[in-house]
Amino acid sequence: MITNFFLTIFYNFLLVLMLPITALSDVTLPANISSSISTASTYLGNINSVFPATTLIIILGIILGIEVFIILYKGINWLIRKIPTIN
Amino acid sequence: MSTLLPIKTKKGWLVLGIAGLGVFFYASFSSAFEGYANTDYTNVFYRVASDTADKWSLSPTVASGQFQMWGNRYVPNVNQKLCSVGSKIFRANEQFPATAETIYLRIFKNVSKPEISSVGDHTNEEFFVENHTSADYHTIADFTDIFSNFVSSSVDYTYLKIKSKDQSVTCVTLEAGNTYWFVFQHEANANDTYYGFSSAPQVFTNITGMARDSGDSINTWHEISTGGLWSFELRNDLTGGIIGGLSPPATPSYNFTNQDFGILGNFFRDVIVFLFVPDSANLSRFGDLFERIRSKPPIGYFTVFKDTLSTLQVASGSITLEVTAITGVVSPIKTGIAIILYVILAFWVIRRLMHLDL
Repeated sequence: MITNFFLTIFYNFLLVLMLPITALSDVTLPANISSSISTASTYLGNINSVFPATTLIIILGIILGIEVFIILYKGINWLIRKIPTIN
Repeated sequence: MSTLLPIKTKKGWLVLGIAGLGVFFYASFSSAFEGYANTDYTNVFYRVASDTADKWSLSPTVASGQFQMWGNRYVPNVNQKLCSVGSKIFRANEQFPATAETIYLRIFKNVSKPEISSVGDHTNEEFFVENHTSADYHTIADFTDIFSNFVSSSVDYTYLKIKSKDQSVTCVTLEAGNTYWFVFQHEANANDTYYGFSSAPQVFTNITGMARDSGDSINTWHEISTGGLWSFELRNDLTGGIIGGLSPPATPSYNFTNQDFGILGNFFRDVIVFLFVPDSANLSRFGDLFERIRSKPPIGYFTVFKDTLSTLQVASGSITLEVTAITGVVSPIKTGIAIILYVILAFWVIRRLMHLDL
């Protein structure tokens, strides 16, 4: 009960903090992006019989994953450096 | 002591003492903190009040390709998070060797009666829970080991996870005051008969049921007595799986070893648990915080693009290259190109890490 009470306060505090973000409308991608990915999928299908398209997608995923990890790492470090007394 | 608490009179201490005793005995004896219902109020089994033992909803034997279904109407009093539905499943009259079957639990919102239809999307269907053939779901084939020793009856307990129409596993909120139909459906094979479900320790008050019965036509709902309802458990997490045995899962009351301290010790234990152990619903809602902002800027710029990009796949091409005759030539070339691509990737990773500017 006591822990629940403090957790509820903390949860609501987070909700208030997030309010400026949650009040914004949802992000929607332009339809052209979806259609271009769909078209790219078709192109990959065309060459799949002679070219390892699946491998290409896997490698693309790995590259994107590494880049996202680096960006996240930098972002978290940037946030940490914003804490007073931490350089 | 009086300096620590703002209580100045004997009457105040008396009120505090009575309140403390109330908490003490409530925590000690309240069934809400015992059994597998756990300290999570949203994980509640529903069953008919008069049921004291397993109660099975009869499933009529139907011809191959037809289907059997039962529906329960549920009107939650409070908003209720729902991630999976647990129930016992009984399979009888199986023609062995057992074959994989698909069962569905469909959830309809705010309809007077759920639509009766065969497998596939339903009008007004909000979500459906499917005992699916993918790895994420428990198929009837998963029960094969259990049912392979089938004699006269076999029972198991399983969780069916909520899926949205786009097939992703998700959790939903059952909104207070709205009507939800939970319809269990099985597309039958000849001579298959499925029965469900179990009784459970808690009692519902706001649920009614309908079913197709053996005498009903394929598109007719037949209102059934409360004794024929099936029981189910609404869970707000995605844990669980197939659990053998005749009883619902014997989860420890407090998510840790339930040490027995004797009668008096247990009273204190229960008080401490009541006061300090948070219920899982309270904790699990923190996991939903990200869902609130995942499609909002600026995070949404990343997540929405990532979701879209994840749809990139090797689709059916508009051109079909006939290479069957030269498979012996093409396959090694494809393998070689794949190896070259991986080697290039390795070089790229090494170069990227060497020039990492953090």
